[in-house]
Amino acid sequence: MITKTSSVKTAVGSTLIALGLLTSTLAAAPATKTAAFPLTTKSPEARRLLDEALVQYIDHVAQPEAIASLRKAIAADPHFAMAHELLAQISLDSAEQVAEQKKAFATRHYASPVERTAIQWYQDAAEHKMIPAITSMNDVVSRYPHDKLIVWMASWWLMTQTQYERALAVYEQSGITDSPGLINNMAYNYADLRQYDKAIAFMAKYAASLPGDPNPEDSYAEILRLAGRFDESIQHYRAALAIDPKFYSSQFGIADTYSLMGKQVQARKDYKTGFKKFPLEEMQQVMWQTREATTYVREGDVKGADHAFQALAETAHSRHISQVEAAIHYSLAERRDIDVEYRVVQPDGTMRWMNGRGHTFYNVAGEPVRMVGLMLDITDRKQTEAALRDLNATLERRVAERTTALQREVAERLRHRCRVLEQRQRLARLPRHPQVLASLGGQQRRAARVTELPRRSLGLAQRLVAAFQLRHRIPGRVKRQPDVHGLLECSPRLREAPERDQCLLEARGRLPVRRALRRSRARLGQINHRVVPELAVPAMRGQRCVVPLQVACVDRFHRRRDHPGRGGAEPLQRSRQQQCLERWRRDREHAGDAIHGHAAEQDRAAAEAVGQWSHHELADAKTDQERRQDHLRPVGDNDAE
Amino acid sequence: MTKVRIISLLAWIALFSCLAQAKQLAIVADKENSTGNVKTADLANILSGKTKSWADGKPVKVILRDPSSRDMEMVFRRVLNMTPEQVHALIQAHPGLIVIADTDDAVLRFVSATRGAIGIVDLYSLTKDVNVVKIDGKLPFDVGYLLKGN
Repeated sequence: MITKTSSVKTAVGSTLIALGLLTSTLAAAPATKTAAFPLTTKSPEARRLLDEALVQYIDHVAQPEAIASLRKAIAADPHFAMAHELLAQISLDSAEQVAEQKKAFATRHYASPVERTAIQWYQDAAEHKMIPAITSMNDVVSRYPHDKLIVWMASWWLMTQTQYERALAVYEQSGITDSPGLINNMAYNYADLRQYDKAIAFMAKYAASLPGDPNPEDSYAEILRLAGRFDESIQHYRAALAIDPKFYSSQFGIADTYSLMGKQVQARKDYKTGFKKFPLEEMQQVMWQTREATTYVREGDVKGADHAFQALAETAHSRHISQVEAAIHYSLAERRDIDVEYRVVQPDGTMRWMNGRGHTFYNVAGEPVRMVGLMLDITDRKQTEAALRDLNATLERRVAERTTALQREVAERLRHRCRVLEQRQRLARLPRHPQVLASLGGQQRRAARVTELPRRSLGLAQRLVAAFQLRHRIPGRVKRQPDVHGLLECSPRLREAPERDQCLLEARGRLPVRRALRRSRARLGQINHRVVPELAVPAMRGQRCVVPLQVACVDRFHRRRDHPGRGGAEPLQRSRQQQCLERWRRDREHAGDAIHGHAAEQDRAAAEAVGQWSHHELADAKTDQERRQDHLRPVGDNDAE
Repeated sequence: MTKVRIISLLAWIALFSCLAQAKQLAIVADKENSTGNVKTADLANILSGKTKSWADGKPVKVILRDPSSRDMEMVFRRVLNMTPEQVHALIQAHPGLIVIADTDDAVLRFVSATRGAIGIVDLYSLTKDVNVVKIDGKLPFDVGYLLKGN
């Protein structure tokens, strides 16, 4: 059995040699390898400011100062494409990052070809065109492998893509050894590759290059902790705090380290010191509170862990932090942008609403590697929305109240109508004995007593009655049953009259009923007393009135007869009346009845035949109406019945 | 505070690095090679020496990194379902079938300079001098790409 390594070397040794010769001939070094990356600008001041920014950022890890210098450089030369690109890469404001990337792409024509390639690299990456981005990056790196700016750009971008080996290759190929920023990045690269010895060596070099700065000590401590050298880690964390007592990440780094060492009580003590000593942003507060709660888990205190996590959850929920967390997880799962609204508590205790929007970048393997986002204070908008909601709620409540009132009013009206219908049904159920039917006239007269109705109500009632329309339906056997089925309706105009209120007005066709009864007794001996027109209509407030209604009967001779309250009371035209009388006489003769010669009787009979009042009845009706108008009074249900 | 943010970002990177030590590999061919896509079976035939020429008649030349490396082990396992020992046996049985290079740069230079050459490199070493060949119609960033690292 040949071992793996020896077998490969034996098998391919000659090939490697041949390939080495081949590649040595193919790999002619480009002429620009030792040259500096060009930074094209017409403004010397802009160029000076950009160089200053690079020193501040790459060599001194002073990001805010570098950003300020780049902004000045752009102000000196707005067409400085690489200044735009660098500001897009190091800005802390995501909106500025996006805007500057667009400006860099827009001003690339003012730059040299290799600068355009670099800008295209970042533009492709932003558009997730990874293969063109990679080839552009390697193109630039192959041309300027020793340029500090290009090495930093490539190694940092590769780190964000989790390509640590490739980032280290770019750095190691550059031969740069005096840049603290690059050294710091490479130390983390080695740590990510679990090469802690190299990582610690690089971090020691980084710390030595920036004495008096807490950041190298803190980074050094973190790498030592990752390597499991906890005691040394705590020493460097304390050194960072000694340099800058406000460097709070070192305080919590100490606590984290104690927790990893198994000293949970000490860890909790340091966490609480940090919470008390430093004002933290909410997310950081929750993050370290979570780690503090984890100390209970590590020491097996389930009850304490439950209590700590419960308190943490309540805090997070009360501040909508869980919503933020959920939104982030959702966006990662769905690969969507983050857009979440939540509340934050300011140091003075006031509550502000924030809108967080973010975008996640993924590496080629699909894992999230970077997030950029923007925070907006939307407190004013939220307050406006709340006021609008209150207003809408008030309006909804008022509408609901009004609807309830209307429903109650309609229900009350329906109850009254039902009572009226019940009355009609009772009348319909009465036995059709001639004596009973004859007594109905008297009952209805008693029911029709309406007194003490105000003058205005009387006028209204009269107008209502005048507006009634009677529809007729003549039965098929007219001769045998000349009954009239009447249906009274109130005109829509009067229903919408301003005087309309909750009162009912009943209209009863008392006189036509009486007439119909008389005719029925005389002729057929029966009557369908449903002809009694009866309708509840709105009248005056709090009153339920009964008013007389003149309803004309229609027989087989004349179908059009009804102008309630007016038409029915008009005297019949003589010629027409005479014609009807003759017909009626023929009918009576045919039936074998005697015809009385009295003129008044003849007139009444003719009028009955045509469904109108005779002159005598008209006079009687006028007298009766005047009498009733003097005795109009409100009546109750019982009275009406 | 800015430095703290940098530390936080680095911590994020460290976190994700624990989740993904992925290394994507790409099949590359010379610029004059019109083959833009190969099937897994075709790739297996090329790596095993069964396919010795392209459709236009040019001879196939395969150049890879060290077959005992983690990346190449993955390639042979997924394409040929071979263990490293079987790969070594294959190479010994077919001398000259596969050219071994020590770096990705060497692979890329060889492929770009040799007509009919095909190689496998780290995706982030790609240059404009070569063409990326799809596998079963998928590029390295597509879901289900065969040579996606783990």
